[in-house]
Amino acid sequence: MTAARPAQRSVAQLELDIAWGAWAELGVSGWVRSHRDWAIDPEPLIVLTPLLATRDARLRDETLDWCIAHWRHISRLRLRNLLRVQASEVIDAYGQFAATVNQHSGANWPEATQAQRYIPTHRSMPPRLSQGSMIWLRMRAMFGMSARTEILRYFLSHRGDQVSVTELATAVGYTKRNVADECAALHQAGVLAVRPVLNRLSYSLDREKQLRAFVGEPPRVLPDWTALFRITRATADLAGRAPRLAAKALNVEANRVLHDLGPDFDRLQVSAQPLAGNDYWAVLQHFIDTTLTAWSQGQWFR
Amino acid sequence: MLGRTELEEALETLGAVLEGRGLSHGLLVAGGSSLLLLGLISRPTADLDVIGLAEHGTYVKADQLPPTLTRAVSDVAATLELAPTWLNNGPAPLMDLGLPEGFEGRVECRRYGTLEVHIPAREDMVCFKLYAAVDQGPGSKHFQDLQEMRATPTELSAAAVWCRSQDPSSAFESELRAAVADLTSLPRPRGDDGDGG
Repeated sequence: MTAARPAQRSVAQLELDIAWGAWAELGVSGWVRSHRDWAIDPEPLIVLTPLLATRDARLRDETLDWCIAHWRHISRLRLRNLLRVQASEVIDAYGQFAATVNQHSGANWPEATQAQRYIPTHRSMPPRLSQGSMIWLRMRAMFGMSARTEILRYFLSHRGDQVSVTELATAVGYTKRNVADECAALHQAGVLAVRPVLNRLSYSLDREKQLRAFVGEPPRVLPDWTALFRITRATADLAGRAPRLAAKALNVEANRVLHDLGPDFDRLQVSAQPLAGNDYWAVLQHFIDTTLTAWSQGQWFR
Repeated sequence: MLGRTELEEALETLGAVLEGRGLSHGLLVAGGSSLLLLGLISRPTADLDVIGLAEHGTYVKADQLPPTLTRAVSDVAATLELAPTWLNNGPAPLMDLGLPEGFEGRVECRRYGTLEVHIPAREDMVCFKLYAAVDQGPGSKHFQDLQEMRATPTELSAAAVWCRSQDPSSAFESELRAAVADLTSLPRPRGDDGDGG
């Protein structure tokens, strides 16, 4: 499946489209619901949105409105852990957003700085937990807001995986100690299987069929949103600078971006198609025109 | 290995990358790559030797290259498929020797974007090359470079004076005399009958 990139749609706009699509699933007032087949993970979205919203005031107003009304669905521990690995520009923008949410709600989100002006829009709807795209929030409603739920989320979205506590902690955004404790409890309950691999324990899901029957079948697209947003951010950033860069520099920067994003491409099982020769900017443009464009329209394209 | 075309391409790319990142650096280079840039030799070279950093109108020994430069060098290497050390500060201790008198005034500065490459003049390169040729013998690339540069007796005599100031030992002096004798006794290309180049 390929998606035609709408004429003159900038990479920054594609990035915004993905964010809008995800927020619309959560209940933010939006134009279209393009991502109903995607499982939405709210914390990576909240961390990145304030930076994107510097280009889209409506996104800022509507997402603030939603967060102030529905902050109880959000894990502040995950927010804190995700923020640890963000660029300063992301953290700066998030800090004001979080302060505004804290000022107008009972939330106590981390890294809050200076609150911004807030005018309620009252257009946001609560998340409809019965929707396929809300499976992760639905699981929180079932099992509680904890690392335990995020561990189960991981195994549902990575069928057949056997992973260590370290890998799991990185993937779910909780601390290693927390994840280790919860894995041990889930193993005792017979939900996770464990086996030693070299000098560490490797966990896998032992009752997948029962879990799926209980929480509901996940939607078709189960992306790692942290990896996805790192890719969109780095790509949009370079595309924005591209007109000011000499061709030789642009090619080097494109190669660096592709290299740096290697682990994220792997986590999403996505490849940026290599082309003949060393024209890395052409590789990245091809990725934008196909994969990124498809993502912006709610289609999963590898 | 880097030929002159590849070396120019790498420097142009590095300069463009630095400019795009809002960075600028000035590098004092030496070695075979400098001769290649000046068109004095044609043999490919493994790397570009940085001996100093141009800072506030003078040169300081390149004990360490700035991290921002190292990162850009590495990124260029990855893109152009060069060795990661294609630009390095290995020969920086050369600065400890003390530069020939009037060195700074003779340096040729070339700009590649926001990268400045400061190349010693021919006569100063003869000094460095002669010192290295004495150290490493007549079979060395330095000896060959002096031959290819067609270093004249006058240039070699001046260079020998500088070399003696770096190592006044009698053992070095005898090897220096032998090296200069070898170089001046070599047959010169037709039409090349004196100082020049």
